[in-house]
Amino acid sequence: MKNTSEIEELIYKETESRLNEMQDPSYQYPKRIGKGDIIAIVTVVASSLTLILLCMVGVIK
Amino acid sequence: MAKHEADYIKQETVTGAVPMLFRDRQYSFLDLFLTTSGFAIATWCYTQGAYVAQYLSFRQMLINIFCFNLVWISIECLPVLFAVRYGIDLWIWLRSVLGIKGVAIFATVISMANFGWYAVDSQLFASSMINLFAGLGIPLNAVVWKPVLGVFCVILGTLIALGGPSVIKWTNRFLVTALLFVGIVVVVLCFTAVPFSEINAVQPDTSLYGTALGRFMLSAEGNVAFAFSWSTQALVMPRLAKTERSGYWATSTAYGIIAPFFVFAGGVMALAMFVRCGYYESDPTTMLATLCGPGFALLSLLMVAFANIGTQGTGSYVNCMIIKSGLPKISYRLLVILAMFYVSALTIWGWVMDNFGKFISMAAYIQGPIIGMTVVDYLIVKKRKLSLKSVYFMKGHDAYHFTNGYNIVGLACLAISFIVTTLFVYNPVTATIQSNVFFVTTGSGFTAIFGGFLYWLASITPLKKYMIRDRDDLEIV
Repeated sequence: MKNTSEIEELIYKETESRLNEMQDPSYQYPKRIGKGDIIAIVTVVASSLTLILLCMVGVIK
Repeated sequence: MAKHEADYIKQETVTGAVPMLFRDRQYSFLDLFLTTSGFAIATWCYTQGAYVAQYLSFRQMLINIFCFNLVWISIECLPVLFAVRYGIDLWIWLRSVLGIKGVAIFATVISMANFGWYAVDSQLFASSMINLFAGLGIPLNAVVWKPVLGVFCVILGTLIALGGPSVIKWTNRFLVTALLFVGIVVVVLCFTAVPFSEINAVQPDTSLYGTALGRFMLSAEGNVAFAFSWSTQALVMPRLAKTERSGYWATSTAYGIIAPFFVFAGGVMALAMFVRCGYYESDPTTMLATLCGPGFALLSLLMVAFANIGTQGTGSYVNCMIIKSGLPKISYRLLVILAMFYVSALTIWGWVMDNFGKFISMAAYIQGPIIGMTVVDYLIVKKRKLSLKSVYFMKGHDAYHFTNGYNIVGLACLAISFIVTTLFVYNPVTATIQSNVFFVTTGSGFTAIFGGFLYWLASITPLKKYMIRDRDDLEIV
């Protein structure tokens, strides 16, 4: 079993190596979300807020 | 690299705070959706539904449960995008908002609070099993068996957590599919056991508050707090996702639709119980046994009981990961074992179960400001860019050192939000409404809005220099 400082050193080196890999221009990041996703999120929030408002003012009882 | 060193690194990647590279990602949309749903479909959802059902009409209950959850889950899941992109969890990002020592303190405090849910979970498991045995003609003494079976559930969950994400993934693939089926059948059975017209005609209990708006918003307080309860745990699993889209939608649909669906099922069962028996019941196993007859009830009880074990396993993994992000030197296995003893003690104590409403609101008051600050920090203040080298404290990168490891501004925003909301909006301990602001935002909702607002306000004052020192250190974007 390694002691704490050796483990810390091991994790530090591994983290450093991974960050270097991510910094490489050839590193492939996960695909970003698109406009369609943003529109869907806004629609969900807006329609939910509308229904909540209708309940709050007593239109939906 | 020696084999045991490679194994250790692998373990630290999936169960630790090392960033996860794209090539290591294990979870498709379906995997993440099922795993997160497995976490979300806990039997406490039924408890929450029964609580709300008493005070609202059927239509208002439906909107209250789904819409408040959808609004807040849609917002609080936005930072899932950075979790997926960088392969890190929320708490790593929060080092740049609260400071490394601030994160260590709050990650521990919030996880200690989160574990309260798992005490509820294990107690519900115990009730389920006692009812199951009663259904089989074997009566068990609840005083003796409830703590024993509760601790048994915690131990089984611990074994799943020790297996890590792969074991959790396969456990949930089976459990969640079965439970989704049970949930749908339960709702259908409730509507057939009691005519919908009778459920729809139940008049709300007006004892909670004198006005309809007051009852609606007090119920909303429970649902907002419920939505917040996932927040600090929600951004741990998405680091395993392969795309931002799958990470966001798998997480938000699990917490925003699947969990509320089970809350709704609990509400319907509580209303059906009221029509049939004249009282609201929150124990799903009792409701099932009364409404659906012995045959189906036994099968459902069995599945509900095992759902609790899956929840224990995933919850233990996620919360130990949260603590580990603040205290990275502690081994994951040790944390899981310590969590087992802690949750077992909470299970035997029973306070959380007896004070469910207070408990979720109090926990939400800490989580709310963190949600608000995280969203504002991610979208507005840091504009989706973080210094990964500073957040991992690589040599020569100290943008997030702040004041001896504490970001005083972030911590102050959190404390002010907590205090102002408790004193002037809603006191979760005494359940007292302090002002009319509550009828617009709820107490928990206000903590998030106010926390985010304060953080943004600080970022446009001279404090900006203290808060954002990383703009020259953005080497990985």
